[in-house]
Amino acid sequence: MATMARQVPKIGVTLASDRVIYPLIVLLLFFAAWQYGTGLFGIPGYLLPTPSDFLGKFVSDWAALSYHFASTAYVVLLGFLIATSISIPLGLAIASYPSLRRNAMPLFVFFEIIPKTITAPLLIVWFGFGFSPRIALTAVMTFFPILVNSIAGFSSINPRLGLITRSMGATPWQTFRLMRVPAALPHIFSGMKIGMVYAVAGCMTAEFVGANEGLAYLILSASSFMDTALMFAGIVATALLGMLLTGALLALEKWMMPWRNERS
Amino acid sequence: MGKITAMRKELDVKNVEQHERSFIRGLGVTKSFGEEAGAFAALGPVDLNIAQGEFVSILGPSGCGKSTLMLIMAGLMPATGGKIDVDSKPLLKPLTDVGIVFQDHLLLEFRTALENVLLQQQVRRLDRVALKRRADELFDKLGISGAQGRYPRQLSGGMQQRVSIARALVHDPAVLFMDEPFGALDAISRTQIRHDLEILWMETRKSVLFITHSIDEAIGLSDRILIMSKSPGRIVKEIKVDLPRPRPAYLGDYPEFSKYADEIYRTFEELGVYHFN
Repeated sequence: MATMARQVPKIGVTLASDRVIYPLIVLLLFFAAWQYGTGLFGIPGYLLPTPSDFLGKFVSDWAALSYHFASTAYVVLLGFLIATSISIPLGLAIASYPSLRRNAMPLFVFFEIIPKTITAPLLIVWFGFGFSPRIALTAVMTFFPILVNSIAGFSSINPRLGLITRSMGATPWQTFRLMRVPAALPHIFSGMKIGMVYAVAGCMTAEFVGANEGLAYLILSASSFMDTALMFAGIVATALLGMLLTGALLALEKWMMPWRNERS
Repeated sequence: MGKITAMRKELDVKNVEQHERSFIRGLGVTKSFGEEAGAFAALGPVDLNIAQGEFVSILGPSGCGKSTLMLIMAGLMPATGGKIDVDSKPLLKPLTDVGIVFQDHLLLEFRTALENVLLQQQVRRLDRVALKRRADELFDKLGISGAQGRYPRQLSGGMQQRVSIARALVHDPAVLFMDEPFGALDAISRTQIRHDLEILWMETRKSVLFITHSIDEAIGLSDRILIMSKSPGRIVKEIKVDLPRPRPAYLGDYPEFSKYADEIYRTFEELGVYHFN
């Protein structure tokens, strides 16, 4: 009997440096075209600042940018964690009890259909100014994508696997821990990745409606001074925040689901 | 249908003596689906006896209820009537001193091949080191050593099914239940895996219930073949296969093979499974 101890040849592996260098070149070319294009076409700086203008703000206005960045990051993280810790167990409950799914789902669908941003003024009435309404809107925005995906995840297990576990004499807890949770993880993570994008949007919306700090507040106040360069810097900082948080989530996903990293 | 009744009568006499010394005993097992008035009688009554270390196949056309019978014998589906004893104890909950292989491998995609096999060790709280050694041994005997660290989707259908067989044997159960385990494989893989299974069985001599619709597999592997009829599924014929082991890939060299095969085909014809003019 031949053994199958062959090593799979490593095809299609790109150097890490290749994956960094080429996108970086594209980015630099884009900024260069922007930098010289605005001068070439005579676009005034108060309409479209050059990259050097708004990237310069990261030096000149570092204190303000980092302060508001930290504020928004704190709210996004907290809101995201609150939403996650409620929606995953709730998703498990809905997936586990068909009667709950039948009877409570219409209500959840009703709430899900409401564009969450329009609840911002209400949340300010309820929670006042400060961190609370921002955390609340962030959590509300994040909640539903994670809930929907958790339900799908906890429902995804092949029911025939029960034949195997029962013949092993597995306890319900063993079945849950060893099968249901790992099977649900990919769905839960896709929900969290969508949720993270929503979380940033939710926090920014709340900051527009009523807040005295945060990146959206910074952008709004810069607009009243026609400081477009600072506005662009605020937008770039927000994008960086989103990338940072999503990147952290991706790293966590990779660590928790090693079976997804392997090639087929 | 008179012939079938006669076949059954002949079987009943044999069953009494077999019943006494069997490890797994099913008596008058029936299964119907649906409510009382419109209930559909899918199975039985069936008497099924498997002696310690005996390899028994159930051969029958699709939809005759052979998979249902296996699930009932494993305690994974309640019977409508009849009783089942395993090792002289009535079977009241799922049998756990067992390994089961289904046509769909039912491996966990998020566990490596080895981790899938060692699920038995984890759930049953057995000794990790000993079971790992046993798993490696099984991987070797099943011709998949080196695949331990791979995930199911990185394996071919044949290899997946071999991992599934390793999972069914790693905890050294007394009984092995297999429901068309090679049904999804190509003919070439089937012959090899059939041979590997036979060798493995010869070493361990477990009591096996093997469900199949392949005549070659049934003759190639079994000590005894039970032929099932359709709706309701009943055992209508028993064929004792007396061929030396291990049996070759090409069974046609044995004159007895064509005798058994002929008997099976004739039975199928009598049952109306085949219509030849």
